[in-house]
Amino acid sequence: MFDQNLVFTTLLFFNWMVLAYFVGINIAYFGLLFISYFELLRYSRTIRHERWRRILQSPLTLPVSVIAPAYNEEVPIAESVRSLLMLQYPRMEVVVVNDGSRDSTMEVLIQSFGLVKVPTQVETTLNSKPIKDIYRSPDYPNLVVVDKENGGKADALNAGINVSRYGLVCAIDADSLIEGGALLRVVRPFLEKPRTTVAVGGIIRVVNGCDIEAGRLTKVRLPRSFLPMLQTVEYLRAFLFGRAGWSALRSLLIISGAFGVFKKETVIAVGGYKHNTVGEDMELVIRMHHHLRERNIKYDMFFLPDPVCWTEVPDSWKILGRQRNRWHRGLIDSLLNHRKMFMNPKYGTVGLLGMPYFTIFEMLGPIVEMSGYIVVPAAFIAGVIDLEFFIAFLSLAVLFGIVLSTGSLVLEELSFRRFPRAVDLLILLGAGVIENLGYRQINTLWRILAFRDFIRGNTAWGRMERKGFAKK
Amino acid sequence: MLLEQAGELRGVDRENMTLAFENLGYVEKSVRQLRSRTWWRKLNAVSKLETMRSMSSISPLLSASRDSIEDVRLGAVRALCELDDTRGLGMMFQAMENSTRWAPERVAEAILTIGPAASAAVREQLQKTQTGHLDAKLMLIALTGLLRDAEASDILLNFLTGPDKEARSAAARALGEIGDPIALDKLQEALHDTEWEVRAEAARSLGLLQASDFIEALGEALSDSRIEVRYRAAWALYQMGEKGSEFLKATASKDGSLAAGISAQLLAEAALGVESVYV
Repeated sequence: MFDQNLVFTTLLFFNWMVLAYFVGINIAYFGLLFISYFELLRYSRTIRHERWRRILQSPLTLPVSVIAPAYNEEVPIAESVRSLLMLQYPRMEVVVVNDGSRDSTMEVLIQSFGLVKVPTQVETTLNSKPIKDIYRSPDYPNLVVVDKENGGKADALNAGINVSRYGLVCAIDADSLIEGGALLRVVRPFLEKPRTTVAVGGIIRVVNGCDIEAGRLTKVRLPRSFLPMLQTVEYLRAFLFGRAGWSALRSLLIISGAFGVFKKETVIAVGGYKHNTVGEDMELVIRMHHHLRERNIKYDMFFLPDPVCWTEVPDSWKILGRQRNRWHRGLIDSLLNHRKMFMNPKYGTVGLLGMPYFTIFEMLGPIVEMSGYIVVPAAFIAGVIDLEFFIAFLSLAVLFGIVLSTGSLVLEELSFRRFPRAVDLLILLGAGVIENLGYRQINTLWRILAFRDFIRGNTAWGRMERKGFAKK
Repeated sequence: MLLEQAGELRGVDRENMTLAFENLGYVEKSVRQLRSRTWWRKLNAVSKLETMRSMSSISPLLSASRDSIEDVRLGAVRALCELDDTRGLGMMFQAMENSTRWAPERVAEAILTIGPAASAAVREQLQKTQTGHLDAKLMLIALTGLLRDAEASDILLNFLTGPDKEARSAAARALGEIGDPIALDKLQEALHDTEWEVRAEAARSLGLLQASDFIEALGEALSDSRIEVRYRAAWALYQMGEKGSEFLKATASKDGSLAAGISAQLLAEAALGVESVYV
């Protein structure tokens, strides 16, 4: 029935494709790891001599508007806002945007901070749903609470930017916890290169398992459950060698929506956050590259590994699946929206390195990886490849994954040492091995399903359940 | 650990600590480290010398301020400023002129630690640099304001009426910080500047100077097309005491206009005590 030669040739072809992809992606990964190593080393050697108190006391330090969109966050909101108000920074305002929550988020805010309605003029430079009221607190002069109609996260951020008064805006998730000195650290590049710096992102770390008291992280611990533990390794890898490497290559395409500072003027110039996308953070960053490179404007974007934002990660498969599906839909949407930049020398390293990498290895990666899981065993069964090659390939795939995770942990140890106990590192090393056996494959499947949902036009965020910091 | 503690000390305790560092040979060791070929060792050394505050390190720090590595140079001049030594200032002004290598903000931050002793040198440099590098000029203008150098008012007035909008805006702000009444008329004129940044800073400065003769002029600014100008004008009026507050109340009672809206906002914010966050 089958033309055996055709099957054989097809399998062989696919195997070569998978092998070529495997070689390509690992060259890219190891290249990034290598670059990140030197970048982080240089950064940690410089930053340890910074006089933070001097920046804190300087009247020249640029003021920042911290914008925290909140939707149905009645449990963590009061604690989160309190922790934002405690940030060490000389001049800042905290703009909390209640995006038409259906729960009692607004009531909790009014009660917790003694909010009073203030008639406030707002200059509408970015599109957003109507603002109902603006509140201020006599106890917290730098707190502004915006109550608006529901329009999604991007819409809430745009409304927050319209209301904000300072030249730098820091977009954060209301359910995340920013470390006390993190804002000061993340703003530093704007002081070093005030003309050219347009965006800076900090690192996101997993808060599950850590001790938190009164909105402050008091002890760093590893998560106690399985899924958050694996995500801890993933986050370290994604940030410490992923983003640090891309930042050094001047091709940073993502600044996490949970913690990033932007020059307001540039955000407004590109039209603010895009509605109808689930990856508004990445989309904004790529649009900024697009806009600035097209106009030949000199600019800088940085990832910094020490300003830390702690976030609660999902500890159920279902919610994690939704999150990863959403992230991948956001990635596909952002890359397709700006496909003009792909391999286009006009966009410099972003067009020639960043966009191809994210398109080929991040966006299409799950499809190739899943094909590999099917084609390589099939080729082995059909006798296209021999047992030695099959075992060697599988072992190398797992080994490279482990080496990369270990590499991230080495970077962590060399630079910031957040996990004080040696046993924590051993546990994380173990998690770096285990994640290759099942977790990684399920993740791949979620990301493949994201293609289906993207084609169907699904722009839903999916419900996230947060326990809130107060309960920890 | 000693170095960490030393950074926290002030007065006689700090002097004693410096003496201890010298006697224990730490200063000498760091000076030797300045001759290292590795950039981060040199950076380490200037950082330690900054904390140890020994006068014997001035000469080696002056040499380090000419190092080929930017961080080392900046570290060295910061250390010199920490010693209240103005000999590094020339080097700093040069650095400001070349903002692609050194951030003027960071240099200015260091100069501020010297305090009023740096005023004369800053003023002199500002005079020299009238047509020079923009970022350097802006930072020097800001410094004269932050150092409250009244002798710089005339130079700043020249900038306020000059062709460069960023310099005009910086000068308007600095004149308010200095608080010299000589600037009042020019600041009032600046309320009609073509650039909103200049108008906003002029309004703020009139508020700082509590220029109650200019209530009408500030009242006009309440209808400015930019919210930044309107808000600062309202704030300035509020600084004038009862007369200004009455003006704001009267304006707020006229419904519908931009001036009425911003006046009502300022009064509501002032009632809560949150009005000064943005100026």
